[in-house]
Amino acid sequence: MKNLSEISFEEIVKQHQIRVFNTAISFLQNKEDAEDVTQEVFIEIYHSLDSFRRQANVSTWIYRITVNRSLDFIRKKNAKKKQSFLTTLFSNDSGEINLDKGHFDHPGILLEKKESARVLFAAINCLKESQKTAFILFHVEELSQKEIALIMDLSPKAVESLILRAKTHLREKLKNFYNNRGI
Amino acid sequence: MDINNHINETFESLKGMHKAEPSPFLFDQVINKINRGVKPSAYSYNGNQFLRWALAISVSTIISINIIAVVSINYKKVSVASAEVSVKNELYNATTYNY
Repeated sequence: MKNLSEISFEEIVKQHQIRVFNTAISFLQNKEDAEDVTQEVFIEIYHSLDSFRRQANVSTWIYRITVNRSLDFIRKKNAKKKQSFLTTLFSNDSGEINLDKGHFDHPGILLEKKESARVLFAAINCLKESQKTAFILFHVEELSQKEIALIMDLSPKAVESLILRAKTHLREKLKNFYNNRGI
Repeated sequence: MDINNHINETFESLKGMHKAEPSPFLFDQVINKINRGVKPSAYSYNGNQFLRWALAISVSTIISINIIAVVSINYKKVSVASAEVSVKNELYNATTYNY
């Protein structure tokens, strides 16, 4: 195996592109946006190659950049949306959003599960940033709570509670959704 | 099927999912951008959060200024009134004759 300092930028991109792209697509729920963010992540890595080579845990560092870039992209996109001043000021992150509007088809989801996954991703979109991050990293990226704790700079206990709260909120949202559909 | 089964089924839709493949030209696109001098964009502050804090701080400052103003005006009124009373008392004492 090559030393970290000998690894070329191309190898870094090849090694981590799937991880970065999949994390970004789960957050952004749009292929084109995820590709933009993936490029941004690697440009940031390119400009901090020195710190890249000093990292003890490279994948944690890359995940952290990807999560931050994805959340930042969402913030910027939301800021661009034309909303009235009061709506922006008093909008609640946990506000009800119509899950029927779910339109995102994750390219990796099995065909027979696409409909359920679409509803789930729409519900994930309604979560607060920290809960969304913990849920995606745990349930989509299948990272351990310890790894997520390192990425989010939290204790494993805090991550566990974030995942539990995210699941509780999702359950409530899904319950309302299915109730309104008369199921 | 009851609602809980639907919810569980929804959660399980993530199981067995494959990894999505990024564009095969990703590396070339990144290198193109780097060669064009594209720098990583600056992170934005959380606008909503910032506005909420700014609003909360300005409202609490206005309330504090009002409370201070009301308290100091009342204090002045009390001290002026007590000064008037003491002057009146002095006058009364000075003009009261003991027979």
